[in-house]
Amino acid sequence: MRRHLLPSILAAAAGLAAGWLVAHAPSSSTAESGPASGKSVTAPARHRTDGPEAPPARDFTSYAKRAARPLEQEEAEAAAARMSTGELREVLLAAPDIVWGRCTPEDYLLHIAADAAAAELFRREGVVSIEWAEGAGKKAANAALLKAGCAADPAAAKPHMQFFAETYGYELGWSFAGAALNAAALRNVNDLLQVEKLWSGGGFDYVPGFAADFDFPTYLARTGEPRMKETALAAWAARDPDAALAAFREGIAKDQHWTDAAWKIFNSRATLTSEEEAARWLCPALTGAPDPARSMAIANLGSDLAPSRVAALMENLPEDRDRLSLALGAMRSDMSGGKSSLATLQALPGEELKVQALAKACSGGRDSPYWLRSGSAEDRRARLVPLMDQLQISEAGRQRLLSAIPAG
Amino acid sequence: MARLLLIFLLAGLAGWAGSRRVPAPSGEDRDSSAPGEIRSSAKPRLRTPDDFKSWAASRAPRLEAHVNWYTSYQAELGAWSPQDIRAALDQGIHDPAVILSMSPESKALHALLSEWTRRDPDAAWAWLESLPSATMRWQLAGSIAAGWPAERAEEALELVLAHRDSFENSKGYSHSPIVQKAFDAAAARGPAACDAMLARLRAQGLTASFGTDFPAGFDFAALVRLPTAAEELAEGRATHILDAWMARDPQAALDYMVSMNREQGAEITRNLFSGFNRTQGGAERTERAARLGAAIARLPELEQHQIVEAATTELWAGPGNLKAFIGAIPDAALRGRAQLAAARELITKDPPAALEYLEAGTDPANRLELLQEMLAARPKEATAYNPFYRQREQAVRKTLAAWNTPPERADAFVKLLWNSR
Repeated sequence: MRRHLLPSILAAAAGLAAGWLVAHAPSSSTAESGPASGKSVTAPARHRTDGPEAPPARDFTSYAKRAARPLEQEEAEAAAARMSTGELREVLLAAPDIVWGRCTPEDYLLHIAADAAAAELFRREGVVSIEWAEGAGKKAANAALLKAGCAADPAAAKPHMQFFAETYGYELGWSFAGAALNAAALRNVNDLLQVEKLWSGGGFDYVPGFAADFDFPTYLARTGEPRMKETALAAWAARDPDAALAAFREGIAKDQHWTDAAWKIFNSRATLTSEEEAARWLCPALTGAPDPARSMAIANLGSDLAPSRVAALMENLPEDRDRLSLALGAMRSDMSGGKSSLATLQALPGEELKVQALAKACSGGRDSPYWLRSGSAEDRRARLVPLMDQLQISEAGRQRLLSAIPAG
Repeated sequence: MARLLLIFLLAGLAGWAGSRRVPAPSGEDRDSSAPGEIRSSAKPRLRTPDDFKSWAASRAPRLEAHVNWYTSYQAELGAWSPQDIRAALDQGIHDPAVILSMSPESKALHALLSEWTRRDPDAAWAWLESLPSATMRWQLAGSIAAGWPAERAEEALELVLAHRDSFENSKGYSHSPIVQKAFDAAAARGPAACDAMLARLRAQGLTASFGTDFPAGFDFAALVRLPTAAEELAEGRATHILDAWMARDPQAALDYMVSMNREQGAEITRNLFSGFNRTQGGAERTERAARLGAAIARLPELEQHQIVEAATTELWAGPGNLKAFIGAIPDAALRGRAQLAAARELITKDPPAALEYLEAGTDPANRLELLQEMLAARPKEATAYNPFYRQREQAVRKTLAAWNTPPERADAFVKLLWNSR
């Protein structure tokens, strides 16, 4: 009897299991796919592999990936991919209003849901989805779709910014441009250059990341955005220090504008190693640059770095003229009336260089910092005396410096 | 065999149907994401706006339990051991992407250090201090400040004072959360402790300037009479105290500000609008603008007019602030005057808004003449303030059409508006 029932039980169990699997198989029946605009847009949301539950890996790289796409975003994107076009529209229409400074955690999550729905709807319909939002008269839906459109297909979406500005005001304008820029930097150089051209004169200066295979040399040669050039150079220096340094060396030899990038690549290297290592790495490129780029780049470094960090650079500049450029740059950015220049001046070896730096700063010329240019001669002397005391300048040096202050 | 096949098919059908009858997990029963969570591979079945509302309600507590609730990826760190966190930090500081401050890698680094600081501030600080890169130490010091437990805030202030270099450089400073928590702790002990903290911060050149959490019933009137607070306010500093007072008791705060300005011979409008740049949110600013508009009714007429004129220049940039201020003025005549002043102020900055004020504050019979006058009186160098200015031409035309402006005159107005650029 038992032997007789066994095949039936097995068949029933297999059937139940097969039925359950059919019911839970991933379905694409409700999710129309393919962009209506016919233009290649961003890939559909990636999905984490379903499988046996495992705790998330506790290493930095895995965690940073989850920070890039938090759980809530992952859930909202996965849900959006399964929804019909009508359902996506309903979610967008129900999105909470965008109110500056007032965003509860619930509203924040509902905006994540709206962004996911917008990205999916734009992926399926292209600019038609933005036109639908314009007709629907809902600011949050229109904003989410415009942002998604600018990120995925900026050339097609950008003209729709005019309708949004006329209808709802202009305060979100830069968030659309930012969405376009950030997404393009994660795709490739040509897309990033296209966005810079579309929003020409946009004053872009920052992106949260570049594509893994981003072609930095091509980008640096072609971009017209000076701040973005510095950001890209810094990112490249973090990924491939030698290649970025070679590009900096070549750039500064031909174009003085590269002098502004010196502190960015120094910072990039110093962040990942130490100020000492970054100074050892960068200083030969600086001292190998032609004048006046050489002194400008070194002075810029001095003015952009905290005084406590200037010492490492000082040690790696063998020539006095470069040390003076660095000290004068640091004194120029001193907003504390001389107090924060102390560390920089202390890093100058020997009294003679200290006196030379201060004398140049006192001269009242182009290199003079504001705190040694402003006020009466008496005021300026009063600011100089404590510095000379702390630096233990000799009497002869003191007289030289006090006489260097122009009268009046 | 056929019987077995039939059993298989029937069981399959039952399995499918049974599985489909299992209700879609609702927000409440599905949340597996408390600290210690494992990300579930079963994705929530979300389809309708109501599904998403339930989902948001269920996920919100997971976010709120952490230092910065909008860093939702911080929630999972609750299950990490200090060793896990430290190992990830040691790895993260060498990741090239952390040099971009808004990269996910940089955010991850900050989240890890904030979480560690929340649990063990001493260990987190010791780790930070051991890093060879001063640049990295400065970059991450903000996470120490953000995660530092409020109950040890005054102790943390000592740390900031002893290591200002780690929290400050030429690009800015990151100690604000600690300074603020220390000030909040002092405020909780009353006006005298608050004044002593103000003196301490003043001596170090520090300020607590954002949204102080004054306890309920705090005696602001007593605080502003104490020596350091009085001195700070007379110098136009520590006005966050007035912001908080304005939120609790607008009339008393306004009376104090006005009497202080009169006493010191300062402009009557001094400090009245300073808080608008500091208050945390747009809605908060709008509410403050409305409270101010309502509170000026008791002042002498001349001072009311001075405040109204100042409001049009101080408040126009925040959407809704000026509207809320004017809308709350109880006296209709003064309100009308404010609307005209706003129209005059905005005609070069935000023409569609200027037309709205003109519509609200004038009689249709002489509206167009007033517009003509305002356009003629504009400074010649009047320019647009934003790149979307021209895009608002349609809105201007729409309003002019609603006023039955003859088309050729509407063209002339638009031309006048845009020729000024």
